[in-house]
Amino acid sequence: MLFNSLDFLIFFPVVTLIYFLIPHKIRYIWLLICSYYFYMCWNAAYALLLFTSTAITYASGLAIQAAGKHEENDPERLKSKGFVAISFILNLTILIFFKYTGFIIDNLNLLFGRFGMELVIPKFDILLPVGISFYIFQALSYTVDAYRGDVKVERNFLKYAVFVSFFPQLVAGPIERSSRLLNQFNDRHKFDYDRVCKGLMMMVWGFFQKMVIADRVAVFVNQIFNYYNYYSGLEIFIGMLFFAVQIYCDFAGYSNIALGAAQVMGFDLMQNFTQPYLARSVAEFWKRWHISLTSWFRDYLYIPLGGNRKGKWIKYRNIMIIFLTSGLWHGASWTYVIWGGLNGAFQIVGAQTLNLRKRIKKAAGIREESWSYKMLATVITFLLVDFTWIFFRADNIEAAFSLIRQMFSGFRPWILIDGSLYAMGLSFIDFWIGMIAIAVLLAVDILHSRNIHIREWIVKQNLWFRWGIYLLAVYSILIFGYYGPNFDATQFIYFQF
Amino acid sequence: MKDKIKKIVKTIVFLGCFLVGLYFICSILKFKYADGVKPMENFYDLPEDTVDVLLLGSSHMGMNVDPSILWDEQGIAAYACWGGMQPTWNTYYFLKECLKYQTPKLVVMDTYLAVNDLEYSAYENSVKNVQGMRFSEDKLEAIEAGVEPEYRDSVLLGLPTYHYRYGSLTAEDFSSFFWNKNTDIQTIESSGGIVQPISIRDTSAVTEKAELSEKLGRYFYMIIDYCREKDIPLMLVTSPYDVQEIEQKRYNKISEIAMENGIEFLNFNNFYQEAGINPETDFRDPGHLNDSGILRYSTYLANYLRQNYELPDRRKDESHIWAQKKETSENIVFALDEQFVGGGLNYRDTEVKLYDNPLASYTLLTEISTECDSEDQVWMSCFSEEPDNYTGLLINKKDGKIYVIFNAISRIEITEFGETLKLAVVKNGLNYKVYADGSLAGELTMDKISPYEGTLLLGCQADAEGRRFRYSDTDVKDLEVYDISLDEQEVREWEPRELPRPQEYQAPAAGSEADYELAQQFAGDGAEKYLDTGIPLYQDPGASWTVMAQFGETSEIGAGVYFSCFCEEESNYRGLLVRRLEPGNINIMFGNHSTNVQVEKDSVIRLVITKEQASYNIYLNGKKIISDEMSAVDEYKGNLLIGCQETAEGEKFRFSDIKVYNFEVYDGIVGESRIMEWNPDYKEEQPGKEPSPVDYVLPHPFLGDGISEFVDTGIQLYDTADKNWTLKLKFRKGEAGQMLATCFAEEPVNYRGLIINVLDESTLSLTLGQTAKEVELPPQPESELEIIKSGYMYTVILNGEKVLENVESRTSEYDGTLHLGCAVDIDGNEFRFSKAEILEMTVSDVLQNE
Repeated sequence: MLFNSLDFLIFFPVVTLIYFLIPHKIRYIWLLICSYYFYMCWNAAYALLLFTSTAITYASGLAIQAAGKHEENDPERLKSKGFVAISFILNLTILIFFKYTGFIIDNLNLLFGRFGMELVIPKFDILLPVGISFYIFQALSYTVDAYRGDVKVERNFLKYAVFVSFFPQLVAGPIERSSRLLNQFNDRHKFDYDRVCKGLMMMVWGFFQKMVIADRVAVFVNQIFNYYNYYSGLEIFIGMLFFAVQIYCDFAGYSNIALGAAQVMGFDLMQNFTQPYLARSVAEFWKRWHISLTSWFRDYLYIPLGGNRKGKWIKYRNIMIIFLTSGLWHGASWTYVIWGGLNGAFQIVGAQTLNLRKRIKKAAGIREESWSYKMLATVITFLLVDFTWIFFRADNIEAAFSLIRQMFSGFRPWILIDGSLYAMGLSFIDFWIGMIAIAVLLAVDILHSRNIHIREWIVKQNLWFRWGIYLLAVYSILIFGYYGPNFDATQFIYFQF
Repeated sequence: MKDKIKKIVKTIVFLGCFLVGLYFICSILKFKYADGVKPMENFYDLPEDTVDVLLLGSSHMGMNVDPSILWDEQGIAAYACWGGMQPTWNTYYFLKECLKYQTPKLVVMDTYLAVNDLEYSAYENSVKNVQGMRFSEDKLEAIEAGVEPEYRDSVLLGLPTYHYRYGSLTAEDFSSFFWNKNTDIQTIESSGGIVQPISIRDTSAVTEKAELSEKLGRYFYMIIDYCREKDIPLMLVTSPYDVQEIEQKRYNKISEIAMENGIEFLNFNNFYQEAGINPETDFRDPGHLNDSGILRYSTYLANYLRQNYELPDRRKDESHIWAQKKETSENIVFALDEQFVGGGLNYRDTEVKLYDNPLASYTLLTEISTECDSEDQVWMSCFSEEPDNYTGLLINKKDGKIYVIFNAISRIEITEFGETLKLAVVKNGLNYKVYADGSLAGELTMDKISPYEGTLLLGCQADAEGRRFRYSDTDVKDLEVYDISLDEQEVREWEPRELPRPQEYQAPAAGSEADYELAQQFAGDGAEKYLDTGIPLYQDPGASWTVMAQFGETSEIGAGVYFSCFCEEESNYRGLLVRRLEPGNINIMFGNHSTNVQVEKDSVIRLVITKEQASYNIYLNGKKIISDEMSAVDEYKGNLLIGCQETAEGEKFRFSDIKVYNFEVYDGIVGESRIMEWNPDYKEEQPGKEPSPVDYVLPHPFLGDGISEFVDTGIQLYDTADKNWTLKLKFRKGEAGQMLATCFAEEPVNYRGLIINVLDESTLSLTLGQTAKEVELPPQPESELEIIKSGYMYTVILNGEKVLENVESRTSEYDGTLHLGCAVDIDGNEFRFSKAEILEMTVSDVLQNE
C-alpha cells in the first residue's frame, strides 16, 4: 500500500485511532499486525522474507548475548563475530538473491560471452520485494549494534519484529537504528493534540512534495529521458534539473510522510534529508542526503574498513568502496555503480584539490564568507550532483552517455519562448504550477537552513490564518496533485455511441 | 476536560470548513458533460410530478429524441436520462433513481446497448453514467455494476477522476452549485446542418434470434421487472442507424422478449421510412440523426405516443413548470415590428424558412389590408417556383378573391372580406388549416410537401433562381410566425396588434457637398488603371443617390467600362454599369434594367443617374432619357469603380481607356434644375509620369552559372507603358532553355514585359509586352539581337536582319528592372537562373532604327 493511495488514507486513521484507544501494553502488537498487513498489501508471500530477516537478526542478537562480552583478541569473541557473520551472510544472501540475481547472471553471461562460452543459466523472474534493501539494512544494523553493545538485546520477539517492520518507515526508510527506535516501542505515547497536528502537517508537506511536485515534474522528466533522441541542449538540461527536483521530492516526500505518520503516533524517526541541495560541496551533500543510509554505510562499512584513520589513500579507497556499494544498493545496474563512483570521485577530487583551491582563492582575493561565493558553491555543487543523477535515471549506460552528449549540443534557447517547453507532457498551466511549487519548496528549504521552523511558526499564528494555510495546503494537493485514473477526455466525444 | 472539549469542537469546526471548501472545489471541477452527468443532475431539480415520459438509453436516445419537440408537438412532458454508451445496468440504476423522485406514466428505453457485448463500458463512459447520481445505496451498486474494480474508489470519491480539470475550466464550471437549478425542458443542441448520407441495410431477411450477452441481458430483464413492479408501462425503441446483422438477431430476441412480456417494441431500422426519415439526408453520423432527422423522428414519436398512450397534454396545465413559459414567447420565430407597406416597390424578408423541414409545423397569424391596386398581387410568399416543384405558401389576390396557395392545385380561397382580413395558416405536419377572421375557411391534407430553402417574403415573390419579382402594392398590418401549430382556440382568439405605419418615404435631397468628387482628370489605360470611389451604392438597396459623370467618348476601338458598381453574380446581375458597346453606343445598366443610348463620337458626355429607392431617372447631356423607371434589386457590397468592373470574387477586369473630366456622387437626389445645368469645367489633367532614363552598357561579358549568378541592370524598361528604347544584345547560344534577359512582371492576371530566351539550338523566344514570338537562330554560336520599342510598337533585328516589325502590344506599367541571367518573381526575388552567355549589351533611349 502506497502512502499516496486511498487505502492508506483509510488505513492510517483507523490504525492510529485504534492505537490510541487500546491499552499501552498491547499497542506494539497492534502495530505489528498493521505493519505486516501494510506489507502484505503488496505481496503476501514476501512477508515471509521480512519475517525471516527479522528472525535471523533476532536470533543473532540472542546468540551474541549468550556468547557474552569479551575483550578484543579473545577467541570467544570470534564466536560473536561468527554470529554477526552468519547474520550478514544470510541476510545479504536474501538481498542478493532477490535483488541482484538477474544483474549477476547478465554480467556473467556477458563476461563468459567474451571468452566464447555460452553460460546458460535459466533466468527466472524474481519480483523485487518492496523495501527489501531498507529493512534488511535496518535489521543488520541491529546485529552489529548488539555485537558492539550499543543496544540492549531485545528478548521480546514481537517487539523486535515491530521494530523491523514498523510500517511508516518499512519500505522507504529512514533506515532506523535499533538504539533509537527499539526503545520507543516501550514508551507510553499519549494522544498529544499539538504533536498530532505537527505530525499531520509533516505528512501534508510530504504529500505535497510527492504528489504536487515530484509526480508532476516526473511527466516532463520521463518524456526527456524516454525519448532523449528527440531532444538536445536545454531540453535535456531542464529535464536533468527537474529530475533532481523529482528524486528529492519523491524521496524526501516519502520520508516526511513517514516521519509525520510516526510523529502522529508519538514516534520520533530520524531526519533523512536536511536541505541537501543547499550543500556547498559534494561531501556536505552526502551529509544531508538520505542521511540514514549514508550513516549506515559510515558506521557499518566505512569505519570497519578503517575510515579516515589510516591515511589519505586508504580513506579515498574507503570512500570509493562505500559509494560504489551505495550505488549498487540503489539498484542492480551499472548505471547506479557509475553514479556512486562519480559521487565518490567528486569527493576525492574535492579533498585532493582542497589546498590548491584555497591557495587560488587566496591569490584571487575571493572571500569564502561572501554571499556570492556561497551561492556559487551551492550552485556548482548542485550541478555536479545533478549531473550524476543522469546516470541514476538513465535506462542504461549508453543512454546516459547519449544524454550527456546531446545535452552539450544543439543549444536552442528559443524553446523557452516558442512554447515547445509545454509540449513535453506538461501544459503551460501544469508547468507553472510546478514552478510555483518548486519555489515554495526552495523557500521552505532556505528557511529551514536558517533554522526557521515553519511548523513552529504556523502553530503560533492566529487560528484563522493557521487554518487557512492548512486548507490551502490540503486543497492544493487535492486539486493539483497527480493521482486518480488517467482520464481520456477524447473518450468523451459522446456521439461515438 | 474543558480543554479537551474545546479541541474536539475545534477539530469538528475545522473539518466542517474543510468540507464546505471541498464542496465548492468539487462543484467547480466536476464533469459537466451533457450526456449522463447533466441529465441525471438536472433531473433532481425538477419539481415533483413533472415528468410523464421517462426516456432512457444511450446517445441513440439522448441525441435523437428531443423532449422539447415532444412538448411542442403534443404537449408530452418527457425527460431523457441518457448517457453516451449507457449499458443496461446504468439504464437500470438511472431508472431506479428517477422513479424515486418522479412517477412517469411511461418509460421509453432505447435498446441499442442491449444488443451490444460488454462487461464494462470504457472508464470514461462509466464515469459519466454514475457521476450525476446522488449518493445512495443505488449509486454504490451502480458503481459496482458498471465501473471496473480498479476505478471504483476513484469514481465513488469523484475528485480523483476530475481534479485534473483545473487547467480547462470554463464559465459553465462556475455555475453548478446547489442553488443553480436547471428546470428547463431538455432540447438537443443543433448539429448545424451536418449531413452524412448513410445506408441502413435491409435486415428483414434476418429472422434468426441471438441471445443477449449475459450481463447486458441480465440487467435488461431487471429493467422489465422493475417497471412491472412499479406498474409503469415500458416501451422499447431502436432509433434508426446502420444496423449490423448480429445486432438484428438480438433485436429479434428482444422482439420475442417484448412479446412475451406484453411490451411494445418499435425497431425503427425496419420502418424508418414511415417516420419520413431519409438515410441520405437525415443523419449526422452512422449512429445519430441530424437536425432534420431529429425533428422527423421526434415528431413521429410524439404523435405515436399521443395516439397509443394516455398522456396528458401538459401545455394546457398552467401549473406545469414547462407550461409556465408561454409558448407564444417561446415559439415565436417572427413578429412584425411595424406595418409593411409594399407600394409595388418595397419588400421585406422575414428570414423565416417555413419549409426547410417540410414536416415541421408552423402557425402564421396575420392581418392584411385587402385593398390593392391591380390584380395578381402578393402579400406574402414562401413558395418554390421550380416548375416541377411548386410548393410552399403564397397569399395573393386574383379576380377579387384572396387565395392561400400551397401548391399548383391545393389552395384555399376566401371570397368574403372587409377592408382588412385576419388570416391564420396553421400547419401541422401535412395538414393545413386556414382561418379567416376567426373562422375556419378551409382544411387540407397534403400527400407530400417538398422541402424549400427560401424565406418568407412580404410584398413580393422569389423565382426559381431566388430573384425577387412581382413587387406588389400590398400592406401587411401585423404578422406573427410560430414554429409550432397553435391550438384552434388560440388562433381564433388572436388579436392583431396596432403597429405603427412606416414613415412615408421622402427621398433626401442631396447636399451641395458631394460624397465623392473627382480631384483630377482621370485617364484609364485599358490595362490596369482605375479609381475606387469607395462608395458602395447598393449596400442598402433602398438608398437614394445621384451619380453625375462628365467623360469623353474617345475614339479608341473596342468596348470598355466607364464606371460600374455592378454585381457579376450569374442569374442575378444587378447594380449600375455604364460602358461603351462600340464607339458612339453606350449601354447603361441600372438595377437590373438596361438601356442603350447613341452619342456623338469623340464628344464629351454628361450623364446623370438618380436613384430614389428603386426608381431611376437618367439624364444625358441635360436631357431626361429615363423617367421614374422601377428596378428593385438585392444588396451588393461592392464599390463604385471608375475605369473598370469587378468580378463576383472582387477581381478588377474590363479596364477601359475612358477619360473622365468630372465625377460626383451624392447621397440623396440632386435637384432636376441643377442636373440640367450641370456642366462644370474640366478638372486639371493628371501630370504624366516622366519615364526614367534608359542608358546602360554591360561593363563586362556575363556568364551565368544557372545557380545564383545574375546582373541587375537597374534599368526600368516599362516604368511608363509607352516608353521608347533600344536594346542591343550580343550573345552565345550555349545550352538550350537559357533565359538571357528579362524585365517581366510575373503577375498571374497581368503577365507583361520583356523576355529574351534561347529556346533551343535554333529558336529564340521573345516576349514583347504580352505578345510571344519565336525567331529562328542561325547555326553559328554567336548572334546579335536588337529590339526597338517605340510607344507600344516593337521591332526586332537579328544579326542585321529585321525579323519582326511593328508588333503592337499594349501593356500596363511595370516598375521592375532589366535582369540578365534570371527572371524575377512577383515578390521581386530572382529565380530561374540560367547559364546565359552575354558578350555585350547596351540599352539606350535612342530609337536606332535604320
